[in-house]
Amino acid sequence: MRDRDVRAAIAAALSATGAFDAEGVWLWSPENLGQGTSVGRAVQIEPGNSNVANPWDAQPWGGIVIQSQVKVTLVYRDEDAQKRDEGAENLLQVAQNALNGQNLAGLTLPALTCFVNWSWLNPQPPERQITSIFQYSYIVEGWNAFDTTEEEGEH
Amino acid sequence: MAIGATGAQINWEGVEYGSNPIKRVTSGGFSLGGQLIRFKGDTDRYTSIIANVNNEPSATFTTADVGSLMTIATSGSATLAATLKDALAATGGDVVFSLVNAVYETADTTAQHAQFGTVTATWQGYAADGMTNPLSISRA
Repeated sequence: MRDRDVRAAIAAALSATGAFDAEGVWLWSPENLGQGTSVGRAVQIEPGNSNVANPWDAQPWGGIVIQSQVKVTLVYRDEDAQKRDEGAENLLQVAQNALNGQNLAGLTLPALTCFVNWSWLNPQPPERQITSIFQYSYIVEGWNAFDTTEEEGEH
Repeated sequence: MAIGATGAQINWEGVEYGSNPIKRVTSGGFSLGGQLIRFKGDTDRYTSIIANVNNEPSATFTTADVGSLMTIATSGSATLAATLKDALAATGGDVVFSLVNAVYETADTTAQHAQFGTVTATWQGYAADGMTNPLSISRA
């Protein structure tokens, strides 16, 4: 298990809410955000920063704790400006309800898993975006115990 | 080429009480627990005799594994073993502690909001013959 699996779990949890369009949950790189203009309610999940703490035992078998941040961009498209903003905000609320305090991919520590901030981007009619930071921590049992299984490809 | 002991230690490994491995150790240590008594009499202005007559070796370890340490039986005794690693992982640089006849004394748990909880446990060792130091220290 690794950050990749957490991002996939985030995508699965957000899809399961039904709040996003069927083709609107993206694990792709930023340049793809502009596509899919037929999608009205979407979310993009991108890798962000990680920090490592070494709280116990001796290397190489002592576990380490990794705190990672994922950039979650919520996209809502509507010609009506007010509806656009309220819709984008609602997507954020849905995402928080779905992800805060969760044990994602069997990896993240629930008490340390939640959205920590978000920002509204300037509207690009008919689109409004909110960029948010979702933060979680997990334990790797050993300094050399990282998961090196092959990539899983597009979800 | 053999590397000598670095002369500095970092982090614990292999901390074990009897058959109970103690993982996620965040802090720990052993004490020789020696105490001296002094004698001064007659015209002495300074202590004229110092004697070591009381030695009470002990150990304390703190770990994030609260459940394991809080449930160890406080009765009976076992060997408490732990290795303090050489800072550069040099062969012969580890300091190996062994406290035989270690009696589990108590454990105290502390946990703050949104932090890993920890438990600190203490042991005291005794000598069955009253003479042999239950705490031994070696290099490895």
